[in-house]
Amino acid sequence: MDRFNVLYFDGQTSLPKEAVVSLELRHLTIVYLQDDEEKRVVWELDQIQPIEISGNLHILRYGDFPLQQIDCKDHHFYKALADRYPGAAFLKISFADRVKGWNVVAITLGFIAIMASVYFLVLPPVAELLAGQIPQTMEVQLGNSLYEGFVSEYEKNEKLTKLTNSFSREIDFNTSYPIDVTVVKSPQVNAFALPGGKVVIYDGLLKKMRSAEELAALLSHEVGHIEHRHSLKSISRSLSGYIFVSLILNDINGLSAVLVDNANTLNNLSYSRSLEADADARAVETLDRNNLDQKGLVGLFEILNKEAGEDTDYLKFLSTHPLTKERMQKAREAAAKQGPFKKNPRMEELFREISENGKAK
Amino acid sequence: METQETPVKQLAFLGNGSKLFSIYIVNLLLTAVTLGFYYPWAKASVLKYLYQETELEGSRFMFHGTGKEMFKGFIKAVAVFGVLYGILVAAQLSGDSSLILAGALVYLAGLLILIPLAVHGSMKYRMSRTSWRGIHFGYRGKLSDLMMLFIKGFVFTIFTFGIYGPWFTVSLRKYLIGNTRFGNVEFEYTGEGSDLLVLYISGYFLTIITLGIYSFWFAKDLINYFIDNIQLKQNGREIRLQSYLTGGTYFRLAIVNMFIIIFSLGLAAPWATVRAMRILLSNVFIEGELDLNDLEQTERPYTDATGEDVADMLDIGIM
Repeated sequence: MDRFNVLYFDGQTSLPKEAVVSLELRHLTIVYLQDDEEKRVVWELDQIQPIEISGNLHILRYGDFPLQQIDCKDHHFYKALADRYPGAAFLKISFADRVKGWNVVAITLGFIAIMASVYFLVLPPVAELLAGQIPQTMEVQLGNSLYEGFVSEYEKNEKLTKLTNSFSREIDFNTSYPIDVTVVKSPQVNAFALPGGKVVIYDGLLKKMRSAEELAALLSHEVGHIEHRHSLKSISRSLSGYIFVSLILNDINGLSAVLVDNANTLNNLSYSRSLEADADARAVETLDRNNLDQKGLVGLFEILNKEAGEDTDYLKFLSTHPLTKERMQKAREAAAKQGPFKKNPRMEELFREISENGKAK
Repeated sequence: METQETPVKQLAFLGNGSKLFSIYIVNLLLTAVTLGFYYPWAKASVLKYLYQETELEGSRFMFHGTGKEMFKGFIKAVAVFGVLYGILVAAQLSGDSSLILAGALVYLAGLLILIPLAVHGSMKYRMSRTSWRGIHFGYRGKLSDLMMLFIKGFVFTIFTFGIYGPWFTVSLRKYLIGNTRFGNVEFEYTGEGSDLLVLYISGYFLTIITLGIYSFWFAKDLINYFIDNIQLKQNGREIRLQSYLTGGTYFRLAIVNMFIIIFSLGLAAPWATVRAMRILLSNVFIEGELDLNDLEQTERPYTDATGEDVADMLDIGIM
């Protein structure tokens, strides 16, 4: 019969008693000396608490409060118990305690894979879906408050704003959004769209425009962003990415959350390229529907390209309107395939006024 | 008169990073897969490991709390916070400024009541589930006393623009530690608000003057001040805890841990935890005639783990 030297604690005091435990058929017997008298304690198997193991140390506890306890430092102890009492409840080792060696590596890789696939594959479409559920009125409200904040930092060019709005009304954008253009005074060659229908154009860009079609292309492109809810989707994506990253890492620490957040921004940058392509496609459609020369989009890209060459702010520019050879290529291809188009006299007239007004400044 | 050396005992932390990592990664995985519901089990497994690897006179501490017990508390905590946040958000959405204010006040008042509730529940649960050689710790504080102490301290601190803060902290420590038992050993906290205030002020200014470098020495001072003022009483004998942590040691600990965590994106956090436990515990000495063979069981059985989880949600670290 198996016997092991243990330290026995009776649950009443902390005095350790050197004892011998025997693995009997249906119970454990613990024998120790107290005041030269042999004491004997019997532990029924079903009242033993789950075993705890740390290295060679095995700890068993028994009964109701206050529990008795034995500590055994013999590394054969667990095997002897398992052989003697196969399937006993107190010998069950939890899943977490059984995980060792390569299993740890496998679980780590599995965890990273799950998190990465959630982050890259599940989160973006869910975030876009949620952005798509926001009612249009709320979107317009959001866009207006963003607009107020932006415009207060710039000087509005009233005359050009009025003319450009008249110009944009000539185009059928096929959209339910109330399109409203604002031209601000700034030498920057840039334009952007806010959720809900606001388009902001810097007069620096307007002055470089050579034809009505280029302006029409620009407006159609920005309306494409609005119609596709691109800014809402971007916000929703980066917000959900940020929340996801902080949920996982904040538990660990804030600093690495910041590191990963920067990676999050880079991830969004590549996303913004695909948004530009979508807006371009929509611009081509809009020009086509209005029977306008699609070379306007090519011309617009030429302006931006030339500007990018001269502009030292190119990096900043890149981040909002990444300009690639593919975009230009696509625009050329679309224009080459185009059927008959014609000039819109009202638009030509308005564009002349816009050009003159721009140059007068 | 004969000179007698004061007997000294020490705690030792024996855990290792790779074992803690395997616990931690399983926890992360299961917590993610269960959308967070595994959290109480995860917490129990980490506490179990950290306690079990802490040794005093050849015997290990043990944490007996289970995920199942803490899960019940977890659900209650989630419900309580759900209601509080719900009130706050509903008031915000109403758009009515007086409703927003009322919602914020209800939320604040709720927190003010929840914090002592959480601390009380957590202390009672945590202590009752901690044992060494079969002798359980226990917390005998009363919720009503702690609530009064907390609300009074909070109000005083607000009205003195924070100056009462150190006295508030010390009064909480005195109450919580003073009501802790380890079998028949009693605890006492002997710190003073004025000492802590001096520590805060000097630490604050030196940290600014040294462009932050002193912050490590400041943190070391705060840890030592906490530990050095814990006193144990066994059958009338006084035993003191002393921490000999130095600023240099703490500086190395903090900087290296920071690098470990940042460059592993947090995955190596278990190694940082193990280093911290080892270094902090190796500097604590129990000075005095503590007879560890003569502890008697004095606590009664206790079951309720609500406070433990509320404390977690409020991010209150206890002991």
